[in-house]
Amino acid sequence: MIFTDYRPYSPGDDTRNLDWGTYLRLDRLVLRLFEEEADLPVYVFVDVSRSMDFGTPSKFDFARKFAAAIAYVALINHDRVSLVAFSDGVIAEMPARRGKSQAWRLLHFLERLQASGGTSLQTAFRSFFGARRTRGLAVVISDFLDREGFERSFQLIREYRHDVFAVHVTSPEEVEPVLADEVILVDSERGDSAQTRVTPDLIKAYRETFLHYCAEIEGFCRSHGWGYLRTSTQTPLEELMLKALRDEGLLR
Amino acid sequence: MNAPALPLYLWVLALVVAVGVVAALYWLKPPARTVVVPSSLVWDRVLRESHPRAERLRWWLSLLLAALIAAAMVSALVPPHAPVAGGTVARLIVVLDDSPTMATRTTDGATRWEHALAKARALMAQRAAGTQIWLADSMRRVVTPGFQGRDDALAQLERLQVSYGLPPTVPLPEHNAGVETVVITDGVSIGPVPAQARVESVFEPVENAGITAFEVRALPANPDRRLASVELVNASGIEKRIELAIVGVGGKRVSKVVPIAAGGMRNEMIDISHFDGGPVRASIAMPGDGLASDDVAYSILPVRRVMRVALVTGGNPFLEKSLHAQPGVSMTVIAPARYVDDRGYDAVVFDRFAPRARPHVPALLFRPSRADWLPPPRKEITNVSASAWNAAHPLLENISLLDLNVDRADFVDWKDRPKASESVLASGPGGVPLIIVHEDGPRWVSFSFALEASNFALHAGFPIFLDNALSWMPGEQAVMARGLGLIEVPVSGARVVSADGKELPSQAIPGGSVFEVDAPGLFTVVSAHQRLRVAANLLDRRTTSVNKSALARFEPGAQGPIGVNRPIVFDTWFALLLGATLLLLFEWWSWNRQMTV
Repeated sequence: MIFTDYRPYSPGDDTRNLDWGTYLRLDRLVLRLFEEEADLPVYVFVDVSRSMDFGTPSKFDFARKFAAAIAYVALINHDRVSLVAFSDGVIAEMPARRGKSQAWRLLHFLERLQASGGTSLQTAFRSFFGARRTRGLAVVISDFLDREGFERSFQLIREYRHDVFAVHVTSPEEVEPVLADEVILVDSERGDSAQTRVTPDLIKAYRETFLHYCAEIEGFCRSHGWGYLRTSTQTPLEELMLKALRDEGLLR
Repeated sequence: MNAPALPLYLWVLALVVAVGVVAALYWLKPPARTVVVPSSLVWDRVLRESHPRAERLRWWLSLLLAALIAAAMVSALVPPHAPVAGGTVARLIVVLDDSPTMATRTTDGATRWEHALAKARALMAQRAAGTQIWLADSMRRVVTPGFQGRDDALAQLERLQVSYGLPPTVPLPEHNAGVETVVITDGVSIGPVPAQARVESVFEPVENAGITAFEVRALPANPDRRLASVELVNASGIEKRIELAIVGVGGKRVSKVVPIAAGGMRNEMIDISHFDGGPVRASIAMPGDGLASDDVAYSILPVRRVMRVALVTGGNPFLEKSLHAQPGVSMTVIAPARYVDDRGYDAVVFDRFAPRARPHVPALLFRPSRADWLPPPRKEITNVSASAWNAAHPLLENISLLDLNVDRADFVDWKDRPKASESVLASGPGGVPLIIVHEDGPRWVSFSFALEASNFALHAGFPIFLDNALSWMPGEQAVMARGLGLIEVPVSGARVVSADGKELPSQAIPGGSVFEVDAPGLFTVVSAHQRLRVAANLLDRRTTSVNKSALARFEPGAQGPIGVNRPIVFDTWFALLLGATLLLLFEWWSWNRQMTV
């Protein structure tokens, strides 16, 4: 409970909040206003699909570290934190925990995760939020490489009236692939392949398409008033926590 | 570039192989590398929107460029040798310039001719063994050139040498259209080169000086004084100090240093009165002189000896004194009544008298009396002047008969004496013979008038005439001066002997003999009845000017002989190599701009 302001008393107000000292001095009934921080449920979704197991360091490791950091901050803030590992569905879930003392459980949960399966945000969200969940903040840490599209998945979260903070994890190898000549591109999740001749033009086109894809996700999130943070696995975690997340309003 | 030329079919084969290798390299693909990507989601979009057709076009453009580069380089390194139209045998025309200036020595020590031979050999060696080669030379030493096998042409090439005497030209066969024609020359004295011929230059500017004229003679006004006249030309690009030496019999020598400006000419008169009669050699020395054959010239100084002359006259003091004044003449005056014969004399001068029998020694006669061996006088004519005379005859050398007037003379009916050995040396109006000469056997010269009946004795040239007559009549002809090359002499069945005693091969021709000389020298032509001295010298200002080449922008005096700008000649191989380089640059540029792959 944090004092925030005064206002004149109106009939029906809780008299427990009357400031009797002011009444004695000024002979006016003034009500003290308090701001109580609600017990916010934080759902941290960690993408553990095979597409996350890419790059050096891998996006998967980065996502786990980031999830641990976010979850720890939430725990010390007395928020209820749930951790959800998903790929083409919910793989594992750590039930809501509160308090700093639960940090070890959180870390233990993240440590045990393995990258596997494809990516289906929609299936995962439907599966998780299908059970009644208290409205809260869904922090989705993923590369968002979902063939079913991210719009419908996020739309689903919106329908459940949760806020979303999307953390888009990319790796430098993904943004600037070092490829040449004839290559067979194998999808790490589905295993399907496509042979092509890599030219500078093709690389340029890929880079543009990838950035366009990222911009689409960001645009969608921004249009719904959600937070969006695109980060590279090369970005130091400290910088991310102390600056980027503050800039995005996730942390104060 | 001495690249071996291939027959057309081999060249095409080489071209196909080179282009094929390049194309194969383009088609050669390393095995595709398998690359795991997080998701093909983005890649699918990219590949869907990429333009494989444009990519293919770029690939083809790149292949085309590489093939063109390969073809250009192959053609530059192993040029094709095209066969004649309609045939399968390749043909080549090679014309070598073997004019005298090709003997010029260049800075590397070899002569232009040796360079030309090397070029011709390389040119022929590049051709296939079956190539038909038409080899000719500018001096026509190859008398009847024709197409022949490469080996025969090479053998013939080795027999060629620098030649002299003829004006150089470019001989070509009649049907030469479409046949590759190469003229190897220094461009100095060769005539115009046909447009279809390719000129291979062996020109290199050098320093050179030469003797372009040389003559030794007695001074007409003073027969005791003898002069050597030498004309020197400096064909170098800078002023030169040329050492001139005149050497006579017995080692007598006169030398002097003559400075001559670049491209300049000097005429030197050198007193050689103290020289004895006989061969005289003029030579010049200059460091770095390029052409040796114009550095020396020969002549012969007439031998001075006492000539015994009998003057048979009834009294002619003027003629007596004139003969007496002649140097080297021992004269005896005999009255016609006391004249018996000519024994004991080298020549006889008859004044208004003629013996019945022809003398055994040369004779000079002034209005002789009637004799069988002389043209008979028909009548006396008066007031005659000389209207025509043979100024080229040795007797009239340095003499003019322009104002010769004769009061009285015998009219000799010349038409009755069609003798080849006799000729009219001077005549009056209407062809009236005034001086008749006979050249077969002991020579005689007959005047149709007496000295006192004319003004001839008063002429300044009269003593010169006497000197000419006394020199010419004994048959001691002045040396025959000729250029180098083929020399014709009016001596049948002659043997030709050089100054060092070597006999030169000679061939008989109608009315004489011919022999060839390729270096300055003195030669003696001997037959059973005749003896002739020949001084063969180059003495040609055009030959000495070895830097006046159509293939160079060098003019003597304009700049130094070294470092002369030569015209840039773009050979085919160079153009092809340049083209390949430009294509390579374009390929690099287009690759950088992603126009090619």
